Amino acid sequence: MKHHFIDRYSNLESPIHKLNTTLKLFLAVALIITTVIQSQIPAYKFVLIFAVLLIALYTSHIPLTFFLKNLLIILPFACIGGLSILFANSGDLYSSFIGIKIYHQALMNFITILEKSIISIGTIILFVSTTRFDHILKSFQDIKVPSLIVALLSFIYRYVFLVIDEFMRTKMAIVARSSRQPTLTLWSYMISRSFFGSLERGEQIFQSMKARGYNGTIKTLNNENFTTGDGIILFLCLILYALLWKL
Amino acid sequence: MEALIKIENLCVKYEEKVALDGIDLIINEGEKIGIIGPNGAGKSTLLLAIKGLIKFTGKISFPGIRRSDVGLVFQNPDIQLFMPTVFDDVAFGPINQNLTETEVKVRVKESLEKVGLSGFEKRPPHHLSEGEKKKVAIATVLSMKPSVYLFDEPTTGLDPLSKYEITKILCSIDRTMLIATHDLELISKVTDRTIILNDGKLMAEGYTQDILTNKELLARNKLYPLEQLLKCR
Ligand SMILES: Nc1ncnc2c1ncn2[C@@H]1O[C@H](COP(=O)(O)OP(=O)(O)O)[C@@H](O)[C@H]1O
Ligand SMILES: [Mg+2]
Repeated sequence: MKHHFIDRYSNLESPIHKLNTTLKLFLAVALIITTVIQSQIPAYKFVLIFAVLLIALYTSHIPLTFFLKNLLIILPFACIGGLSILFANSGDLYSSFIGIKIYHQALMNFITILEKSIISIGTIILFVSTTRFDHILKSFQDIKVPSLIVALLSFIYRYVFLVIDEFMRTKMAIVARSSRQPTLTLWSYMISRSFFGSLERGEQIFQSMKARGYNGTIKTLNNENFTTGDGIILFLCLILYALLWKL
Repeated sequence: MEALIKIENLCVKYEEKVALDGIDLIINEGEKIGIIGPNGAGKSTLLLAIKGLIKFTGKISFPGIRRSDVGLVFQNPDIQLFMPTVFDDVAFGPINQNLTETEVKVRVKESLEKVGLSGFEKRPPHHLSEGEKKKVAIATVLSMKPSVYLFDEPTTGLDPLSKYEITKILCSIDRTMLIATHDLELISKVTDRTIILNDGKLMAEGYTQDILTNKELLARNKLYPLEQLLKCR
């Protein structure tokens, strides 16, 4: 775990960080699901939800730039599928530009996908960066997600860091011995080296975890209780969600 | 003296390479034993086998203790330390031992005090210096209060001051321990008994004093240069 770019702010102290993990998980999933099942999202609702996310972000002391940067990095991946919808041939012509025709309905559909993606990804970034990963896993375990899946997730998480680590090490070793820019062959060699290297390291770290009593069950110190504060937040959020989607 | 660990005819094979070949060893309560040998002798393999982390043939029994009472400090602290903060790493073992929150916190505090790193709780382990990492690695095992400690190269690659401090920490641990190393100074200060491993075989066993003064034996096992280079400039 040498890099904390995914959850580098998850150790901060803020009201949002202190919320019960399972509650946070529930609220995040509920927001995503209720967003995704909408057939359309009017602009004012989108702005409203995004504002709610920003307020939560502000409360959690996470820099806005970090949030936006990650959002912009992930958004294109979510929208690749949406592109085909944008160029679909249906209904009235909206505009035509250097021979590319975009229809009104298609544009609306694309915008809806964009809105849904932004809300969902924003929610996930907010959740992940305000919750420690071991607490998320513990929460999965508590709500009876199969232990195999939880263990797999925990290893994927560790391996991501290991692979990046190993890649940087390999790259440094190679660059130190050559004066030229890495060629394509070299890049592919570096990448495969990083994977094998990190597999070996991952195995060693697993040994080290077993040596200190890890047997597949994640244990953390905070056996979080559901506090009154959590209850109030739950109540307020449920009202908010209901208002959002019923108005 | 009561035997805590009994090793009989221990053999370990990695694919084709025989890493350990018929090792017999008894570790008694309160003993501090040095395991010396050149690189690739099989020292780390022996410790991993005792802790039950690799496949082996032969027998390792634990009369009077359980295998979980054995604590292993890995050579590479980057493998030993995998949690986001020093506190979490030192607490990892005690939490897995199902201790209460208060007990865990006391254990973490005591262990960090013992290695001289009080106040490091919130630091991420991978941003520490090499010497500090080694000390945190020791603390992660101290906090579990094992009956037997296994140390793999605790001083290798450290500067003289860090070496001295780690040697002092090991001296202060009043428990049975095995130290795998080629740092002869360390074992002369900490251990009573020493074994020499070379190429997977147990070559010698005896009082540390006797082994370390037998230069010919050390030289034969690549632990001492046969000829002395006086000066080259
Ligand atoms: N995972 C492994 N796979 C294959 N060979 C290994 C592995 N680990 C160690 N070895 C080999 O086993 C021998 C003993 O290694 P090791 O116990 O690490 O020695 P030491 O700790 O004394 O330096 C060495 O020759 C080493 O190359
Ligand atoms: Mg070794």
